[in-house]
Amino acid sequence: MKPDRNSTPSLLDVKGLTRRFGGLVAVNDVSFSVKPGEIFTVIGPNGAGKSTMFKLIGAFIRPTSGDVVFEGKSLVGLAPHQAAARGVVRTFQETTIYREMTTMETVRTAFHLQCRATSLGAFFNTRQARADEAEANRAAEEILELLQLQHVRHEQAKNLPHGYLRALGIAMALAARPKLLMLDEPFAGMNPEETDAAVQMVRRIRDQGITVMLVEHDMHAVMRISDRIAVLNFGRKIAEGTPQEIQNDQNVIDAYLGQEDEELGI
Amino acid sequence: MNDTKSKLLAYVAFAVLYLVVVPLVFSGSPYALGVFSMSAALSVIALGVWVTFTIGRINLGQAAFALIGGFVAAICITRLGLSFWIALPVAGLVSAGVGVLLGLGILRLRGVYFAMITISLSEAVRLAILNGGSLTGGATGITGIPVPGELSLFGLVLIPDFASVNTHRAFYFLSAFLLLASILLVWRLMASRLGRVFASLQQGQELSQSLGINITKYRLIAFSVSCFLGGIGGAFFAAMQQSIYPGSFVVADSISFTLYCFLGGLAYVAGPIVGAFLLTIAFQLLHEFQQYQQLVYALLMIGIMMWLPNGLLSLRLPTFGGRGSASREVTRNEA
Ligand SMILES: Nc1ncnc2c1ncn2[C@@H]1O[C@H](COP(=O)(O)OP(=O)(O)OP(=O)(O)O)[C@@H](O)[C@H]1O
Ligand SMILES: [Mg+2]
Repeated sequence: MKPDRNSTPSLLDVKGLTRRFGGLVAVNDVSFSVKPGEIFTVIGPNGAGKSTMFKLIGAFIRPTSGDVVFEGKSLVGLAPHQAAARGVVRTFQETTIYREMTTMETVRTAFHLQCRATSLGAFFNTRQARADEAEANRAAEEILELLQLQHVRHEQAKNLPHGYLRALGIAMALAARPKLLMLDEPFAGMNPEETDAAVQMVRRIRDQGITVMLVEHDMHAVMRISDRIAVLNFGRKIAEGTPQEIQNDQNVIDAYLGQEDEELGI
Repeated sequence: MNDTKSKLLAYVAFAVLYLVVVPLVFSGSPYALGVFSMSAALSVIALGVWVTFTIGRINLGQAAFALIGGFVAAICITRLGLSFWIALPVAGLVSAGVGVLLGLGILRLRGVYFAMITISLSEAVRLAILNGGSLTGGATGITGIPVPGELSLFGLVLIPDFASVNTHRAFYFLSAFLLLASILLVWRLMASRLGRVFASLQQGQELSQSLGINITKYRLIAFSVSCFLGGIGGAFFAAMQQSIYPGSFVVADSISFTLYCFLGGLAYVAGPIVGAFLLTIAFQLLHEFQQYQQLVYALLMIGIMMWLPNGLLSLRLPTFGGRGSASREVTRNEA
């Protein structure tokens, strides 16, 4: 299961990525690579630049300098929907959802990238459009099952309890059939049992062949789930390695982990 | 299945009423037919506003596009000598084209900002036409537009010259055709993937982007359909009134179109139509109150917001189903 780091070509290469907001350097000359099939986590204190990093990779904002290379091609300058079409999909830190849509409608909307019919074809309900709809329905059912959302398929998102919303966010991301799925704080606000279930879920997603990047504060979960971890502090990468290496890294302990011993349980 | 059957029956009954009974009963009353035709034209225009609602934009610029449609049709007919049957689609397409050009700039804006800029659009287009010199006729507009002539294909007369038949009834049928075609257009839009995409833009643009949806493209599609409907309605208006002025559609009309949508209910394709017919007919019946129209509209708007946030159709009239997945109950209903 563990990817061999030297021989596999990487899926994502972040090269000297920098992003300034006025005088603030939110992401500062960061480089790392993510291999296919990995669970790669970015950790760091609040304001370290983790979410900004995700936005840069997903082409939601442009880097001040540096490059994001996905499957050998740069994503810089693309619109977010183009990055998504290449296979880079992120979920949101805020539980951003389509409030008025039901679970089923949401997932079917997220199936957009898989639709082969053109807009005009969809309008005229061509054979291709009907095939798309049938396929969307089938795939949506499959995803609802994976995330155990079947029993709320006709519930509007605004009426769903919080735990479900996060699953819904992931359901959407899966429907877009990403190659790289970026989850921003997927375990935030969960109790230990919920986190356990969510960790299992992320593993199942990876086992489907989707490479996963996480931003997460729950160190216990991070250490369990990650293949590799990068640590950001004030926009700079201060360490990268396996969970074990990170836990023993003096830089990391000084800058970050040290203050959070209790939370970590180490 | 029974439900579908009774629904179908209701649609058929409604179609018979609208297409057969009304024109027969009122065939001797040009005035009544005129009111119904006008209601249908306003419905078409308001339906456009409704479409922009589905992408989460309050469009207060529809008067501009009705005006553009009206003047393009009038210019095509009187200046270029084209048939109304060519001028009508040209008017819709020019409106849609202008909508795309403007939309590229303004559709980035949301909420009050979009509403404000579209209000100024209503005014800007009116002023542009007012200063359009001999092309638009300035303040006096374009008058004496001939009624639609015969439409024939390979010698087969499809539509007779309006002047040679009961003109008012002919306009009634034309308005009914345009309304039904517009409903069909919007219904197909909402029933397809596009309707879902529009709803997603209303509820979370960034999220839609991350799911690979080209939000610029779909916003433009929605807006151009809206402008197309505005243009078609305006062109019909010009033909029926046989005249069009810069003051034919003004900011107050833009607001009325929005009110029709609210009154009928944003969650229903039929919403703006119910609103347009009710208010247009009511004001014809209450003729003497005409001067208070704006006041009544304002009060009505406030009343709807407070007591009926999802419009009349939310009172569950079975006949007017047509509930697109597009804009379900709007967020105003949170309270
Ligand atoms: N659009 C923006 N404009 C200006 N400053 C920004 C913007 N986005 C982020 N920042 C700043 O960049 C820094 C990094 O923010 P970011 O959201 O990436 O942190 P984070 O690591 O995700 O933090 P958290 O753990 O709290 O989510 C912060 O100081 C933030 O205030
Ligand atoms: Mg963050």
